[in-house]
Amino acid sequence: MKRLLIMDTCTKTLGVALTEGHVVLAEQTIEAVQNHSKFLMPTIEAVIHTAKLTPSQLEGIVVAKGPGSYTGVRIGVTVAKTLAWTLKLPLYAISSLKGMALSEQNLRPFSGWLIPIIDARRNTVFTGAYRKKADGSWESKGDRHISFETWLRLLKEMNEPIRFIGGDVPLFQTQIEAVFGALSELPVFSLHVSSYVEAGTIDYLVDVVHDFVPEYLRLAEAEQKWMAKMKGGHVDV
Amino acid sequence: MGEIMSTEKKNIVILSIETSCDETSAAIVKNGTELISHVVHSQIVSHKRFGGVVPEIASRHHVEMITYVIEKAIQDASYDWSEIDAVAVTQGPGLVGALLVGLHAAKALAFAHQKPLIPVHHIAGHIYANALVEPLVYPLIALVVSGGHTELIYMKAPGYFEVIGETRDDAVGEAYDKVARKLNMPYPGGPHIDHLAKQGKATYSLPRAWLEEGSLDFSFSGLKSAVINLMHNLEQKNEPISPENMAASFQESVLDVLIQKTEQALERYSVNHLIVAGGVAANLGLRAELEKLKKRKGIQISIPPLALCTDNAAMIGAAGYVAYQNGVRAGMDCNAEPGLNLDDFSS
Repeated sequence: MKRLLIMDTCTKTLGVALTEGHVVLAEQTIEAVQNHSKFLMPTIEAVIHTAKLTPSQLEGIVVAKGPGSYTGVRIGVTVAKTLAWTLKLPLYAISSLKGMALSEQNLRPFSGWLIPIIDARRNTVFTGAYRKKADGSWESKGDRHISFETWLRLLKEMNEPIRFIGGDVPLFQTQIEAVFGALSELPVFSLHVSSYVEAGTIDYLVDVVHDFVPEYLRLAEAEQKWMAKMKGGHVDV
Repeated sequence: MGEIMSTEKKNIVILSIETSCDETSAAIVKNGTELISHVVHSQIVSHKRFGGVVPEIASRHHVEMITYVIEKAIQDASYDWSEIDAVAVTQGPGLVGALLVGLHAAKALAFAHQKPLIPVHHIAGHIYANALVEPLVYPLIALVVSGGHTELIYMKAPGYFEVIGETRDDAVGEAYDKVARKLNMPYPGGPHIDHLAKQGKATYSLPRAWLEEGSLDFSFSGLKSAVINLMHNLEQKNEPISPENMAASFQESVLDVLIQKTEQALERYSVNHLIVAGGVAANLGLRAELEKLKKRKGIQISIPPLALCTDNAAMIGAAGYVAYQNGVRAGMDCNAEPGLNLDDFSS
């Protein structure tokens, strides 16, 4: 199995790992990073040096492509695509939401749906639903940007066991409890990007590294307004 | 003399990257003076629909283009990494999200190939664009005029920058764009105003912001407001407005201040070499006034060719070479500095 450099800068948590097959050579997770710009590259450098390797010894790059903070996502994607291009390595991209589900499943396995939540402001979230099936494969319900209220209604209608995950869950606790009743406890979520190692497979391979861009899941505000204007419609962002 | 001195010096080749606003650009520059390859991808078509640069859109386009642009610069130069000595990149000032894309590509490249990373000030780049055309003669005064900047800079030596005058509100190019919008000209408005002004006469009375006695600072927001108010008043009275004359009056007011302050700076610092840089250096009205200044004062004036006036990576490679020679290096924790100060950048 390949020697992979894995990185995720989509939320306030920075994760960088170096894996070889299913062995974690080095991993660093930093919570509450205000500024991925200052920490991502030094962390990559540290992880590679800790494993006594050089950049040229890498065999693949895995990156969380979003959704999440626009700036954070762009920093990770830019570093990953530049490294993959210049070192001529395969690039693998994984949804940041699936990354959260993989992290959770590794630490606290759950047979129901994992619901990763990333706050997207104005009571909207980036979210999805992921479930690991008995045969070990994953099923998902598609990443989306959605009003949290609507999302709660959809999940309620689904009427299946669910678990909300992510550092932003406490922000929505009151609303969740209003629909699903009191949560027994809010487990501390922790991101472990070494659990993204399964992303280093053909299913996640980026075809053209040059063309690789983040998965924003949302147009820039100016573009939403512009498109609404072009349609002569109502502007609601 | 007769004796042959060993003048053979290793060439310094720099890969430079610039993404501070709406141009994604990369270049290969040799010894700070020789442009080997240069790629500029402008996003202007995309931003036109919004009437100005939208930062989030600019950042998104940079990610789309960044590796294409860098690859083309390296391929056009037919260089490989063993021949490249350092990676230079614009650290600021500029749009933070846009700067971060170029900076992270640069950091990733410097790390992957174990090359030094050279942070460059965008304005230092504009000034050093001239080094790609002719050697700079020190001491010099630089007038930097663009959509984001209006500055007078005194340089007594290479890599030494002292900002002696700057705008306190709008940059000159920004004022042009805003007045152009009022005159229903498409974005970017500067060239349109320049073109219109040539066909008109300065018949409207508009203010000149001299600021306090002896100040080399600029202010253009009052002038911009004066144009907007005047047009509003004329419209209210149903009086016809001549766009040509309005453009000419506005341009005359801007150029009066730019030229007089520049002349004061040259006198105060006893400098005979003026460098004009930035996108507004393409303005024909400004060029005509500079020509008069040159004759009147008997000074040398350098203006880089148009392609090097607007934002580009070639100039970052030229300025990056000076910084490289002065020992400037950045670590992997280097951050984008949207408000980076030029005085602090002196090396």
